[in-house]
Amino acid sequence: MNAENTFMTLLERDALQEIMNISFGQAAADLSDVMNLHITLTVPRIDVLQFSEVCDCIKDDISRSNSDISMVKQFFSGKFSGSSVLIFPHGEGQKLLRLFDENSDQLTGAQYDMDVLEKEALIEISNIIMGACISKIADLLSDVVSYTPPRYYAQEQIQRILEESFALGNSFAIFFKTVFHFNDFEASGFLFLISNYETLEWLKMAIEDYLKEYA
Amino acid sequence: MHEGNQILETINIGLVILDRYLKVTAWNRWMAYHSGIAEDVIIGRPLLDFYPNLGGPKYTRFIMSVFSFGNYAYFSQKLHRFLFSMNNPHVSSDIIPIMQQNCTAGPIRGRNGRIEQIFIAVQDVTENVINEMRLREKVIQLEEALAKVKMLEGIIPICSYCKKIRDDKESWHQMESYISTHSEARFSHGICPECYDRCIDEMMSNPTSPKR
Repeated sequence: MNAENTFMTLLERDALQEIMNISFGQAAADLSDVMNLHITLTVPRIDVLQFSEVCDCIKDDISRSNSDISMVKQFFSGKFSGSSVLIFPHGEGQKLLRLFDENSDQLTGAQYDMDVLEKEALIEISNIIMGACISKIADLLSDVVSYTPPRYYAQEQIQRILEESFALGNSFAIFFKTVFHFNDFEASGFLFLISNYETLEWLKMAIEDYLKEYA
Repeated sequence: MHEGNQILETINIGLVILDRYLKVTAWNRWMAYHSGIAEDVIIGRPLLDFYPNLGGPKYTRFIMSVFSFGNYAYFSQKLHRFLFSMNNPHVSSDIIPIMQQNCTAGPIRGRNGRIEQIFIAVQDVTENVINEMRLREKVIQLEEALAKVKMLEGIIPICSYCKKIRDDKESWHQMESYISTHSEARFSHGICPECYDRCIDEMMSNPTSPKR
């Protein structure tokens, strides 16, 4: 991709891919540990994109899912800063509800609609997944990040929020994509991390430090 | 008292700080009041000694995700009801005996950036839960009431002269009978001033006609 060549050398690109592979590997292991479940994360795909392309890129990836998807979005800030977006295809939230149903009567007591419970479950799970992945990248690049509370969106809100969030046409973003899978629940989803433009210069320096230390 | 401690002691939410061994390093007045466990009793002791249920998977997930990932973790009342088992302090205790809570946990980093402690903030949302329950009950009552109401709608064919109404089976009915059958309305009969005058005139001009 042209933008990628402009902003990163081949060596930097390979180092970033390695950092992501290690980070996401550690994140999956720690997630399995904390959640007491077997969770797999695919090798992350990395692209340098124009900010305005991010929305289309996410839409391309999720277009194979049915339209009734759920999205959880969160901002993270440190030297490595940006947005994380988790997309769950329809029905995955209901599968993951079983994770919270330790006392079988508790959730099926019908005090709340399933939609409400599904939303709460997705927010709680997303928060942990996003935290795991971002914190491991930050650790490896010697950064400390903080997070905003995750927000949940459904149906027609998703398109609007994605378009509003990634409308800055003239800046570039690094776009990371992985697919996560909860083996015990047969549930999957997409995780996208979109770094801010301001992060690019810092990221190049952090990659340089990483290469000095490990290469 | 340190400014931070003043906030800790007076804020209207529960605040707990735990170290990596889950020993309590701070337990504010709100927590002491609602739990019945005094600060000097619990400080320095493992939280699980007082709340053994917090060793369960969902609690471990909540606490350990903060220590492991440094993010904020949320423990939603809708999914979990409560984190710390405490009596409901409101008048609604007959309906919900245990205080309903939304909880948030976050990292506290040391000078080296390492997460050394976490805080847990406990918000009492029992009254919100009661209000939601009442609202749901009202919605159910309204839906039931609505189901009982028979609605008259659309165009009703009516005879221009005798005012009988034609039903969908082509039968003609007295207006009172038709409306009573298709709605909750009932009729009480009287006479309007114009009809009264007309009837009196008719009776006066023809005194032999039978009285109605």
